[in-house]
Amino acid sequence: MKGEDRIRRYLERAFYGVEKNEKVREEMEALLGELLEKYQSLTAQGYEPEAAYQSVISGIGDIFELVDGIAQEAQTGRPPLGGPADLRQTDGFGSGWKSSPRMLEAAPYVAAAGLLLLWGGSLLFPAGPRARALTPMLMLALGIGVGAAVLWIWMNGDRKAVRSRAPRQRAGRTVQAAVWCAAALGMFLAASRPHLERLLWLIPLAALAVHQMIAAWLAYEETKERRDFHG
Amino acid sequence: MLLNITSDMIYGYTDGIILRCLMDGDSYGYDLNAAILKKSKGQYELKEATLYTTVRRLEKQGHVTSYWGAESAGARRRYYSITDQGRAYLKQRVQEWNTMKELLDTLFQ
Repeated sequence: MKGEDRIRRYLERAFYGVEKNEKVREEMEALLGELLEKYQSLTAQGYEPEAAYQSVISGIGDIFELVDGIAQEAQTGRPPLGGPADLRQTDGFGSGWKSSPRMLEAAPYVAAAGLLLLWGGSLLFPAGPRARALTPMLMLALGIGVGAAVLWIWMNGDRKAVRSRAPRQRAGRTVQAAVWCAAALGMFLAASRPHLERLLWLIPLAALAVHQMIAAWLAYEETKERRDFHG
Repeated sequence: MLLNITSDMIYGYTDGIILRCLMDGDSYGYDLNAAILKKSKGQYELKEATLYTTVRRLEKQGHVTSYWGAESAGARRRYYSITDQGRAYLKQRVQEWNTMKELLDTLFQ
């Protein structure tokens, strides 16, 4: 690859994950111009392309000091060094319940685990009338449903931090929320029909399995991205 | 001797160095750095990140303004120009330095 292209690529990587609005683009262009001019002046002085490239890159100094400054000023998201763009957004922002997306994402797991425990308990210690044995389960189905719906709304809301998530992450998590909504609905239906009652414990397990498959896929894609990022 | 002057000592005066260069006329990043290198007889060169961060700060503070110039090397150049406020600020920085220099001279004697 030509030295000029390598410098371009270096800058692209340094600005990886920064939202490229007009302001950021201008900053990148100005910086690129300086670096290319320096590179060309060095090669004109008789430097080998590789030596000139190394000299230009080491001459930049702490590029992340600059990139972070630009990103902050342009108010775009910036990933922690070396990480993909959407990690920061799940690490807390703003205030109130919206600032705890991790807790929101964990809610369906907790609910499903609690449900399994309760269901197991009701098998071991039959509690008389069927309606009473089902009550905690229906409450939990309601909990999962509400949690998933809130998560869904949050994922698709107009908040800037949510928007700046990678589209794939947003889509994946939306599907996860949808799966839990469907699971909650399915549990209500199954609970209201005696012959489907035995399926009740299968529904959260199936939802959990689908949830995990999507999570694994997202993690895989993220690793791939990170590998590309580090070349 | 090529001094390794990325040290804090001179770092704090980067803004003054850049403003002083701009007193000689509008300039852009690469040219500024080349001028500094030449003026220091090859002893001191700014890192691009430092140069940029400083210039951006100076612009935000109103000490310099910038405008786009002609295209070269496949990208547009951004020129910087010192403002009256920047001139006053430079004067103040030079005074600060002179005071400090005198003080250190006295203390080192």
